[in-house]
Amino acid sequence: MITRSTTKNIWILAIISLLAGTALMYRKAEDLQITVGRKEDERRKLTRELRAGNLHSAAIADLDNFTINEANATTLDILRHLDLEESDLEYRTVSKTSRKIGGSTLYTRKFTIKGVMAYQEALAQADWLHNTNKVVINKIVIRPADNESGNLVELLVEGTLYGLDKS
Amino acid sequence: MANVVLFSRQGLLYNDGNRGDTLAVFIPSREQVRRYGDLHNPTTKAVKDSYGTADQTPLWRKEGDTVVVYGLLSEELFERRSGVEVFLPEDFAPVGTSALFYVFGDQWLVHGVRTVGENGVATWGSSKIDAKRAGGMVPALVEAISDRMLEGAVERILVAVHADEDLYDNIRKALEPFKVDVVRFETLAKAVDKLPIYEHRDHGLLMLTTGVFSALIFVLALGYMAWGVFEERRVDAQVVAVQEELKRIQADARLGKIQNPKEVLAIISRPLKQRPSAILHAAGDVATVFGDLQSIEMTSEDPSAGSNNRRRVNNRNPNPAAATAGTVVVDAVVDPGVDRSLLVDQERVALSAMESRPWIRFIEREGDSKKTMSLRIGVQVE
Repeated sequence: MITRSTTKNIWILAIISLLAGTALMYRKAEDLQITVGRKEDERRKLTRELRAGNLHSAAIADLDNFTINEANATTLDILRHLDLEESDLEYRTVSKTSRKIGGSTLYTRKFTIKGVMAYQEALAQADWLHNTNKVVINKIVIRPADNESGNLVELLVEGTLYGLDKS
Repeated sequence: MANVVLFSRQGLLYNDGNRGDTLAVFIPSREQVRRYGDLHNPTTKAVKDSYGTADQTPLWRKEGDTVVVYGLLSEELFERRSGVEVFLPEDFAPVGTSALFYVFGDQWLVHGVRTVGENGVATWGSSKIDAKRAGGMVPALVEAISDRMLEGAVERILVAVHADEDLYDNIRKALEPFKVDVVRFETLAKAVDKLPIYEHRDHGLLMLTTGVFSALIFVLALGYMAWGVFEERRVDAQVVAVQEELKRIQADARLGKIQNPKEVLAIISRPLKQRPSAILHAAGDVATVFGDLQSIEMTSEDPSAGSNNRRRVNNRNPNPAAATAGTVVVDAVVDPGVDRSLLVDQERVALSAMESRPWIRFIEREGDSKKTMSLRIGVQVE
């Protein structure tokens, strides 16, 4: 039979154990909350970096799409860049300049594209170049073609093409 | 009903077996009783020390200035988990009683006698009689009371019975000739000025409540900690995921040695948002109002670039009207043919054309050659 002293001792031991365990776990839990708070701060910082990184990544992708690699910017590469390698339009680079922006060099080419075609084709060609989203069209001139009759017009496009050292 | 127990230095003599708190009656022996006049603030520990017992609990109380120790508590009673109160037999005797007889079951008869000393102080002496050895409870009780009455003293005798109903009735009948009232022991009231010579309470409920409360806060603390662990793991997983995403982005987002893509993007011009054919067609459409269209020339500038140091794509000074944000200027050359209208007429035609084409912001006429007329047409693109 469990005596009063034993019962009392068991109860006291159990209560002390429970209270001690409670204190220990509460302290551990408080430490964990501090740790969680610190890690939350770290996560927020990383998320900010990620957001900035996403913007950086988007800017890189945008820039990559919009510019040609200057390391191999031959006329054929430029025509490929503009999806015009199979076209009979006349491409000519008018000028090429470079400019330092921070640690990068931006190469700017002024070019012209010329050709004779029907008026509707000229409009479509202008749209095609525009839709490539790889050049800036500065000027479009459409006028009647010399020595031609009918509906043919001469299309002259002046534009700007940018290049970067991507390698 | 409380559990009634009779005990002496020999141990428990009688136990009625009822459940609940215990009301114990102790029969002290003369050898055990001691009096201490020098214990002014007595405690159980001090009394223990004075009495010279280390393990057992003394049965004591303060009477006047004297601490009286009546004996030692039975170990069995001390270890009872239920509450225990110990009294002396005389504690139940009403005022004026000079002799008492308590019947506990069919075996034990407690006999107490009150004596007054020379100093006028009344003391009680108690003894127990084993009725089974004396030929049964009723004969033993009758004999004891007879002996007492034969002493000739006029006194009030108390007979209380804690036994079954049959024995109680038998005792009542046997004592009728003595004209002694027989009462049930349970009906006796303790004297209000008499404190128990020992008591302990049943702390089971308190312990249980404290235990349950402790367990509850233990569970809460455990839950709090578990939640913290869960949160830490969740945040760790998020941090790892973000770090991996960052690494992936950093690995993917490389373009040569370019570290400042936004800066580069801010410098370069961007294409117009509108299709050039729409602008050309809008300008050409309005130009044909003035004659046969000879040529059309669209000059675009990126309105969003806005950089003053950006080189212009043509060398003309910008027309103030053309500098209006969201407007593209288209130069058109038309052949008005033989119809060389007056300037007033041309203005009327231009106004009419602009009214029906709200996207045309302005029409300006430039220098004429002999055959053609040059127009500057502003087309709203935003």
